[in-house]
Amino acid sequence: MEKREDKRSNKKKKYGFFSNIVYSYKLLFNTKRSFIFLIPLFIIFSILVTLISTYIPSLIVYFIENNFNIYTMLLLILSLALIFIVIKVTTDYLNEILSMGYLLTRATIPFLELSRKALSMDYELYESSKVKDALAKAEYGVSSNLRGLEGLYRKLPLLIIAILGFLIFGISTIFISYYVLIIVLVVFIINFILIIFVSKKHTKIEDDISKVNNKIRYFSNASENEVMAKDIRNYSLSSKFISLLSTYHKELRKHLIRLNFLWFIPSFELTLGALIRDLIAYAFLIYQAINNLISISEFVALFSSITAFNSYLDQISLYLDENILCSLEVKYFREFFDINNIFNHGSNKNKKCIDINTIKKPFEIDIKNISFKYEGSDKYIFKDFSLKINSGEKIALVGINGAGKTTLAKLLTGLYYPSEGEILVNGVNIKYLNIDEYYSRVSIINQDIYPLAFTIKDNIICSYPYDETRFNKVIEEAGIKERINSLKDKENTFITQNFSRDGINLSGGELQKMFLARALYKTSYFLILDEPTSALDPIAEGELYSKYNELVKDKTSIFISHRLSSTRFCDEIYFLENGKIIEKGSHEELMKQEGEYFKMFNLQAKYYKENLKEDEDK
Amino acid sequence: MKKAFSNLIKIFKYSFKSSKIAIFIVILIGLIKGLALFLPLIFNEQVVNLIYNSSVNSLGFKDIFIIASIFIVSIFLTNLLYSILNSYFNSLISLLYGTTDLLLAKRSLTLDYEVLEKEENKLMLQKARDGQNSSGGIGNFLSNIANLIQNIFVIILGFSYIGELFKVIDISKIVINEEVTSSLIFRFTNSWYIGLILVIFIILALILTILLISKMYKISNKFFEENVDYNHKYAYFARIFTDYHLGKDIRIFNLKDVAISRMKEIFFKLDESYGGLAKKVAKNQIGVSIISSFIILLGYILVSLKAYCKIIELGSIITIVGSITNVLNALVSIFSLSQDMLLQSTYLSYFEDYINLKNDDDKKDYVDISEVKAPYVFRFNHVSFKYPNQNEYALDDVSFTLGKFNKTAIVGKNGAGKSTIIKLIARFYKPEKGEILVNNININKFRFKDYQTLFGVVFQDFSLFPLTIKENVSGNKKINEEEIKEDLDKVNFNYQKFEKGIDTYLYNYIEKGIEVSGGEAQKIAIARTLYKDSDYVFLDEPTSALDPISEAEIYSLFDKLVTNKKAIYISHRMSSTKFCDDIIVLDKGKIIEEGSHEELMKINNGVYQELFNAQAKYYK
Repeated sequence: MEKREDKRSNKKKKYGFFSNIVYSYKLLFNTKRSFIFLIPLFIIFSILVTLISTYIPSLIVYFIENNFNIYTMLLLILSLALIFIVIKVTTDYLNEILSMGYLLTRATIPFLELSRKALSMDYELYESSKVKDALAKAEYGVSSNLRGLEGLYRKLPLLIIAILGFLIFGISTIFISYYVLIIVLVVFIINFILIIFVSKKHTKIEDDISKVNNKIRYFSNASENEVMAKDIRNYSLSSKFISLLSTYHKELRKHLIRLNFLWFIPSFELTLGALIRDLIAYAFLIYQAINNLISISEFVALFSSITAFNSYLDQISLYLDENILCSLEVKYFREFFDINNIFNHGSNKNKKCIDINTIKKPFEIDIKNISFKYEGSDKYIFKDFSLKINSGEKIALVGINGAGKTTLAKLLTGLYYPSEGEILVNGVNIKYLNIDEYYSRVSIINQDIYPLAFTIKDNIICSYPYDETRFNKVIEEAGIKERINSLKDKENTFITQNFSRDGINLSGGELQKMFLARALYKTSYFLILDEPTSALDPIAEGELYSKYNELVKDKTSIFISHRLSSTRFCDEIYFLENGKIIEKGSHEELMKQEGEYFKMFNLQAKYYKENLKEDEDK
Repeated sequence: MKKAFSNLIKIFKYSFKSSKIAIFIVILIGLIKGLALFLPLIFNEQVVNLIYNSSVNSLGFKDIFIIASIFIVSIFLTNLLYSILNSYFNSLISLLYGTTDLLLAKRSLTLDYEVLEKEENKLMLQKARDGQNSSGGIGNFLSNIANLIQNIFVIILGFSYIGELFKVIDISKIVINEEVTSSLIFRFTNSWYIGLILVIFIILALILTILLISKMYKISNKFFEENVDYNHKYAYFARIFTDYHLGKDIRIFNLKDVAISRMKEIFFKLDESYGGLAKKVAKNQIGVSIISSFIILLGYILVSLKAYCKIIELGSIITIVGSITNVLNALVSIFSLSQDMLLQSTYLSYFEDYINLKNDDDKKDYVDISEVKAPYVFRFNHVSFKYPNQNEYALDDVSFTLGKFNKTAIVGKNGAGKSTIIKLIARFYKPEKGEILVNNININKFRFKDYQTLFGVVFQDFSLFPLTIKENVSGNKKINEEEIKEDLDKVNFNYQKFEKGIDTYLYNYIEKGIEVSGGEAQKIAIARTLYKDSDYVFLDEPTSALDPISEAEIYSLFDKLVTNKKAIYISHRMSSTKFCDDIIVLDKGKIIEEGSHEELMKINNGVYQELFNAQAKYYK
């Protein structure tokens, strides 16, 4: 594992500011072709608007100064004004169209790509804290109007406008004096250094802020979470949560005030620089004008230039900073796509890949000397573990909490991969199968049940084709047909109200039945049931047991349960303890051994023995 | 529109309430920003006039430079004041943001469960939160107010300079040749109505802007409803790919395709609605732009004429042209600002509505909890209850008493109404009909918080929090480390295996903590109930995640426990209910059997017998 990760981090590409810009805009232009022209147009027009409105007064002064014919003057101004109107109206219109385009681009394709990438990532990777953090950061790239991709779309044109404006109006200041230019450059360089310094501090404070924000988010969510609401009320935790939240908010505010103060430094330097610069520039300007070295119209033009130049200078330092932050978020977004899967997903042609259809059904599973431990833990869940399940065999897996049953289920369904040893399906190492194809042939009911907020039908048939007869058969087998048919929208009823106001909430037992139906609907050759009856009532539980043989016909199956009654109809029972099989055999055989299984069974059974109470009384 | 205005007023009032200085700062910032737009113009005008007339006034470089310096320094001071105020304002915004977030959390935490859980209230909260995220909340609203003030101030200042165009000179007093003064153009230029034309246009533009704003509001309002709905879904989609709990099933059942096709459907609709709105906004924006551009056209011509005819000074060209540009930009800004603010005020009104939600019994005269003397019993008196969005009654005219015996079990099939009983006793819901009494007093007559001290519950879907183990166990009670350790020992929770013992944090949200298995979590939850030390303990499926060994441990523990407490079990494991003195059997919302295990087993074809045998037959 560690070796693999090292390789990955070595390969990690560096995404710089410009590379992120190219990436973001390629993405934009792919969806909005016309933007290739519209954005430059917007930039040019924006500058023209400022140019015209800045120089109009000096132009009028020029006409008057040089005694132009009144009609010529009117004509010239009229035409200039008309041009100005066309440009201004176009700019305003473009601005609206562009910003909607930015939003639509950001909120759709990159978002879909990110979901696709996250959802097709190997589960073990996906679940690791590293990837979780990376994903949370990558999400920034697509989750807000002002950050990440959209932030870059909105703010880069503004930065370009500011830089171009700065250059255009800057050139005219050279006419006043070289000293002005030197001062401008000195002030700007100092400002740039300050910004870099402040940005560095900023990222440090930002880390603290995100830590506090995570805490705030947790308790804010907890305060409105329906499930937690019950414990919060019964154990009167409200006041504790409120006081924690206000402490965190106070801490957050402290950081934010520090940030404010930090950013005040470069802005103060800029203001102070502007004072010195202006004093010198205007001194030269006034001197030249008063000695008739320049005309009044030139004076007005230069004067206006300085004003425009000043405002562009402020904008550069503002937008530069914002663009850098947005580009950083785009970087996180891109980096997420560089995380490579370890399992074979069929996309890599160099890897040996075996067609799942050539494998004999139902699957024979052979676990050979595997070892496995969780990320960040030293304790091996399995060490040199082996187990063979014959084709079509029904086995039961029992043991105390933490024995490794659920982990084994994850390994066998291809969600985790063993760090040593191999898992063979009919003699073929899972590694050589396209894991997505393998997923399509195995089925599981997980212990923890999380439905998607779509319809009941979506949750049962998943992405497989709808077959009405088959659908009706599985909901009947799972014992949920009656419940579904009692609903107004039947199988098209939404679960929870996320996507429909008429959505309903199913109870734990009902969800478990629905998930059983899902596991059965799918054509699979290997089925794992992990505590499938924990929320079922005894009658429903009994029904599942009695139907079990019929349900898993043509499948290899594993039944994991704490209810030892469930093991009776399995061919072979394995008793797992600390990642090792300590007993195996049929129920009768294990009972005869009088080992751990025997002890556990009796512990459960004694409560069901008739007349126990009378026995005790005697 | 009326509603929008009342929303606006509500939010203004709210802003006032949260910080009086904020409003003062907002006004000051608006004024300073407006002034900052005009100061360079005035400066420019004055200096140009001084230089132009320098020969007449006999002013030298030094004099003019001193005057210029005064301007430059005052511009510097204005900018400095602005950045100081702005920095302060940003801190205020973060304060306001914190306050609003805290207020929402506070309201959620103190609402009755039933009110909190209501679908419409959840949606209201969602909208209030969306408002914070998508429109920036109250802080952004305030900075928009500052911008609005700035723009209004700019329009007023601009008008005062544009008023220069009304200036008319007495022909007899100037020295221009007669040919010029008698010309039509000069007479037209040198009249007051020339300025009036411009002002009329500006007023027309203002009126049109306001009309368009109200028209746009209607369009945006409809869009806003869609937007709220869309944000809700977008957030869920983000959850699909970030919540790793969903990840296992998504992979094995290829739910990725289902999720992605759902996303595409929603995005397609979004493309339609946002795209459509964008075009409408853009069209109306053009309306404002075109009208205002005519003002530019007219303004430029008038200014040049007046200057040409020397009716106004050269320097005034700068201020008038600058004022026209500023006024126009202000008009366009007001248009888009108003859009934002109306949307924000709608969003913020959800916030206001949410924090003003009322609990049903906020004002009642409470009965003191000390009236309830142990031993007390809970009595259901013809109670009926139905969940929202459901047709069937979860409980249907049910009457019984809990607490007659030390150990009571409630059993029944899935959906029979077992957990509902606990939720009603805990006052998470109110019965639709009938009443629940504790020692003959209706449970609703007590203060909610006091009432909760009467019992502790281990819920089927209990929650632990990312605090230390000891804080989890103590709840809101005073921390007594010895007792906490004792209770953890009782449930066989081994806290000593952690370096920090009971000071170890759970989970990884707040501090680096440990992950506990389902069984261990259940043990901590039970210890929490023990520490609460109420006379009653309710256990809803307390051992569902436990293996048989731990299960047996917990049962034997509870046998010891009930010597001085009353326990109510809900369980599907009939083995755990067998030893209860009293067993209540529910079926389809009604009580159909009640008695001890022996008594119930004697009822032939009874539900209890059926349930018990269904499990017992596997253990024979």
